[in-house]
Amino acid sequence: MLEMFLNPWSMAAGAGLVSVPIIIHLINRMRFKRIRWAAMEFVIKAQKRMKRKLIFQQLLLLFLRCLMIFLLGLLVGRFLGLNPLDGRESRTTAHVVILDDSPSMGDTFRGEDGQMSDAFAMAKKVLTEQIAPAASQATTVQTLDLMILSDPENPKSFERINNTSIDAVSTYLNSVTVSPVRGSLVEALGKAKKTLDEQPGTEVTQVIHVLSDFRSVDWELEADKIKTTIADLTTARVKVHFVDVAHPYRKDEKQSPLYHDNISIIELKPAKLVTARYEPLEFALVVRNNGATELKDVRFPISVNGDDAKGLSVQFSTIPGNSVEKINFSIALDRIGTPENPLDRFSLVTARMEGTEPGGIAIDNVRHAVVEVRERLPMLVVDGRPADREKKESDSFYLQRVFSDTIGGFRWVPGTVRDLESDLRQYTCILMLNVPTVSEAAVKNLEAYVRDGGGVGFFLGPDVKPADYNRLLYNEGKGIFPVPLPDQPSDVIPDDVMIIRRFSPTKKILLRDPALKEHPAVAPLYTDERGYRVKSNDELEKFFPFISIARYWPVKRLGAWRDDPTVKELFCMPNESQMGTYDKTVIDFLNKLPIDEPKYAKYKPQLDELKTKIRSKALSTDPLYELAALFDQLLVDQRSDGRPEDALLREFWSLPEIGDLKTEAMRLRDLVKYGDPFSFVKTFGRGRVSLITTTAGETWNDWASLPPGNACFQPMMRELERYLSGGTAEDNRSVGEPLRLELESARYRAGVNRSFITFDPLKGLPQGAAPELKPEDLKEQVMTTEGENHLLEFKDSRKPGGYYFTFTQIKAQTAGGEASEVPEYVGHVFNVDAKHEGDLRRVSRDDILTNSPGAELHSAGDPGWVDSLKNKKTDWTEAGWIFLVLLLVLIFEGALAVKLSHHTAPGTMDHAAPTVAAMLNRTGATPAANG
Amino acid sequence: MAKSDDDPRRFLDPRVISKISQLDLRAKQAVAGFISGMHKSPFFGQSVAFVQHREYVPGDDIRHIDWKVWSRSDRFYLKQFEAETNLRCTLVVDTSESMLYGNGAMNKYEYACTGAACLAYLTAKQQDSVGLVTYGVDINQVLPARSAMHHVDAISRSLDLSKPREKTDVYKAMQRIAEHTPSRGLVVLFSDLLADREPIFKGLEMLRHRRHDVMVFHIMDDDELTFPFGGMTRFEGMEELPNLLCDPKALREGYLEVLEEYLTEVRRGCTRMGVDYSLVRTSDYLDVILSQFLHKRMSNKASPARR
Repeated sequence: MLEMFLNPWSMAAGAGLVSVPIIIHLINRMRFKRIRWAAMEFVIKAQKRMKRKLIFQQLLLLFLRCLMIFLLGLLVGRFLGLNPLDGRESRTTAHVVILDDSPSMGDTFRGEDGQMSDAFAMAKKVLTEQIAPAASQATTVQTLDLMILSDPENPKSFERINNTSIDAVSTYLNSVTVSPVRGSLVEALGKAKKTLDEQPGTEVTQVIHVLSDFRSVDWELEADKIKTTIADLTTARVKVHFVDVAHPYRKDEKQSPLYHDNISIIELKPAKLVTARYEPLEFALVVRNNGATELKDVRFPISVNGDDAKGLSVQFSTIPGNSVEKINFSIALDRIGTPENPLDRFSLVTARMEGTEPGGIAIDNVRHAVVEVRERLPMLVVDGRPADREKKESDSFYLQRVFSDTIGGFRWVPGTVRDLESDLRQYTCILMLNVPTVSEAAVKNLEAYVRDGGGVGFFLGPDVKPADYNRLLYNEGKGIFPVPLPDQPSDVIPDDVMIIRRFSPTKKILLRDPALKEHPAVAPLYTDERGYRVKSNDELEKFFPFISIARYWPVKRLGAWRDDPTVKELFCMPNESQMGTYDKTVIDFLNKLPIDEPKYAKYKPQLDELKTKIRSKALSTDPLYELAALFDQLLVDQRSDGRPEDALLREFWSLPEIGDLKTEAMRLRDLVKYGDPFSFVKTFGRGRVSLITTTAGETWNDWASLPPGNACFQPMMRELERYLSGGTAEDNRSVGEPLRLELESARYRAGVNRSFITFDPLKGLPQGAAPELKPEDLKEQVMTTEGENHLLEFKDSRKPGGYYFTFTQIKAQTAGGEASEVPEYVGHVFNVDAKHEGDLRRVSRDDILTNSPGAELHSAGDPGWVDSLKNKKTDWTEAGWIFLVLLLVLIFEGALAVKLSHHTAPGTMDHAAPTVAAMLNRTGATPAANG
Repeated sequence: MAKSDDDPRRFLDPRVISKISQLDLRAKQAVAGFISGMHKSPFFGQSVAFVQHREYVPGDDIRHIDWKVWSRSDRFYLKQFEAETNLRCTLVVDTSESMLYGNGAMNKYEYACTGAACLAYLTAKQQDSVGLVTYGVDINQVLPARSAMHHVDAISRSLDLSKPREKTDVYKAMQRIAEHTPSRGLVVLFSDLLADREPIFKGLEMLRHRRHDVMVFHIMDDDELTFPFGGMTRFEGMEELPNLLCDPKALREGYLEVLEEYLTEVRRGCTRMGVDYSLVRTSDYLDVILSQFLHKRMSNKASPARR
């Protein structure tokens, strides 16, 4: 009973006081006047008449007065409720605070005091000025463990919370800043629970505080996991408090809180990670405007190894709100490694946004790329006919001219099939020209090479053994080869037919699908140097009609490879069949066109005209491509000549009931338009493979040799090489992400030297000459050995920049010599995860509470919630309603007391005793009260 | 509150009269004060014995002009006759214990006695005969009606000597009066009527039945009319009524309602029987009683049929 009150003795006194009104009532009844009264008859009658009413009113008044004193007693005694303990107050409470230090916590804003602050500083403030002081006021033991989100493995324990430990927390937090590493809340919650479970004692109340900015992107990515984790915590009776520290402070009535604008560089991607000295290397800079405001003339200086002079500056004329903009630029890198400074082979390219943002986070305004620069890039070329290597008829003849003479920076390494069994990692790409077959060891080696990011280009030819290719390289889709080959190459075409084809104005190579213009293998062919799409295809494709392909390997279009998402058919040849092959199918299709139905009357003129044309064409002996052109005109989905009727046709094909017919039309168009495939690409692991179904030399075609068709050979080969060697460039690593590398344990030593280099323009740009960036030594790491391989697991990327690894390769013992050790260098770049962290949208209250059942969401702007941490017994005085009840009782009691005091109202006499009232008025006398 | 010196009613204030100890003096004082405020004297009785002629003055009743004298002298003279006693007035005063209550200058009994004495004096002065009956449970004193002035003194002394101390029985008193007053006359009752209504009405009915003119001066104290008490009070009942401890303020409204019912019942009962009823409170000036009395006399003269 006593535990129900904070001040039990006050309540006991209050209980005694409840009897006071009764005592006063009794005393009043004992003290009375005596009057000898003549008109007792009236008094007795009045008493009888009013007895019930009076007793009820008096009892009600007495009850109200007792209730009033009782309520006052509850207030003074601090009543805690009927179940005040709830098993908490007497127990030790362990707090784990998860402090979000992800980059988005660096979201700056101008505080009420005019000073710039950020969400992380607010989080520190909430911890040291709200949570810890409140917990220190609790009567039971309170412990605190602080966990930084980016480093949940190492929570810092502050033992019991008191003034000293709060000072220690403040001191510790002074050294903690926003980390570039993006942490996982789910992981941190798991670790926090583990930390709580490690607390000594069985009866411990467990509380987790998450001080974070609650960005939408985090919750969208991990919603299910968070829900499960929080549900588990709630089941385990762990109280979870979410405190939103982001600015503007979250308000209860606002479901979706406001957020600051922010610009992020989400990609800085070189076309390839290894380039030749002085050769222009293309970079793609992708910027996202996460705010709603359009930005104009935003400039991004690019520095090379911290030197703006060696870089350039690119500018976006406009970046609309909530959009992603991309720009391409090229830089020629000149620094290569020297024996003294072997790591100089890596160049650190840094893009940054010029100027400062008014709000948002700054750390995502900088992005790095690491490119290895070599004097020449070795390219291994395996020719199926090595004897003819220098001859004009050989497959490598024209390619060698392209890569040695026209395009600089390559070292042409002629090799044999045996060379494929050696270490291939030094080559930027490998070209396989009419190679009859490869050994199983070579296949294995090739697969490893491609999987690690290498590129292999296949050109087929007459010597190719399709069975070996299919068995070893294709391997039912599991190998690097994209498609299975047929048993035989295409038939020899008679000369007269070849002459007819040569002079036909159709393109001999067709892009299989207009959407493929975005494919990385061909995208540069259709974009300008800034990365913008060129309006006309003619620059390149105008040479396609002059190519003459006599033979090729006719890969069957139907096959399992079509379902493989890693394989894409890029180009194909036109359908050279006779018109008569398709006339019946076409006529059948035309008959299905519902042009006579009244509801399609508006489309009838256009459809009628095309129908007539297609019908007459299908019944003619004209080349098939002319029919294909008419189908293109009918479907208007690939090109538009700007004719006014095109809009009507598009409208017709977009009608939902025409859907099936449209699919049939497209299938028919593809059938008459596209012939056998010409080239394929396939991604395999991190690497890429390309396949051209004909020869690279003039054996089966004149693509490389005969002008003017050969004018497109060189740019397409250049893009081919860029695509093949750019596999690893797709990596977009974020700081904190683990890096895994596997090396043969027989050929490499286990020790790896690690270095780190970065350039941070946010710390202030140097005046005058750029300082020379020096790599920081990260000490040696010993790789673990698994089977035949060493495994490097690197998890220490805590800052954005370049991380360089120096492996030691053991060269095999040569004749007469000793085994030697050769260093091998690998560079990787780690950046802030700007894609996720730069998006400052905040998750709505409903989403948080739905995904975290049992948790409570608080705002840093409303610190009232910390009172619950004081672990004080919450008494009824803290609820306003008891005061309201007391006030109502007071008012009611006062009103009843006034009523029962029976002050004579002016009209009482007139109402109750009109006779007497009339008499009094008549005589003008007023009765004098005796009472 | 004292009236100004010019106001003739100053003599009628109970607070003034109460300072006069002797009842007969009180009556003289009151009646003198009352009459001095009148503009004419309508108090000559009807008689056959001629006394004198008096010159007419405006305001005199022209019925009394002696036209024979006018025919001779061309002047208006009034004929004045010696007044004759033509009224038997019986003053009935209640001497029950309840009449002792009073919180003002006079209690109800004193006020009743003063009123009765005034009427006795007034009546005697007009050479009418006046008698007195006081009653409680039974008849206490009976003074037969006489018209001599010294009879007023006897009435005064009788009233002085009577001390209210017991219950009341109005019916019995009325019965006795009816039995002992064979000829019809005027019966003036001074009482607080705090008794059962039925015997009261029966008694009055009996008097009326015997062709008596009945006047009731219902004397109530101010406290009894307004019930102005506050605080816990024990009301100790007079006339053997029980005591009651209560908060009078809480009861006041109910009290006034019961009182109103009572007054209404009494008034209606009296009106029904043709009894002149006047509610008088002890703070009322005595002219209430005197004027009521004279009004009654005059109305009787004006409407002899009632007699």
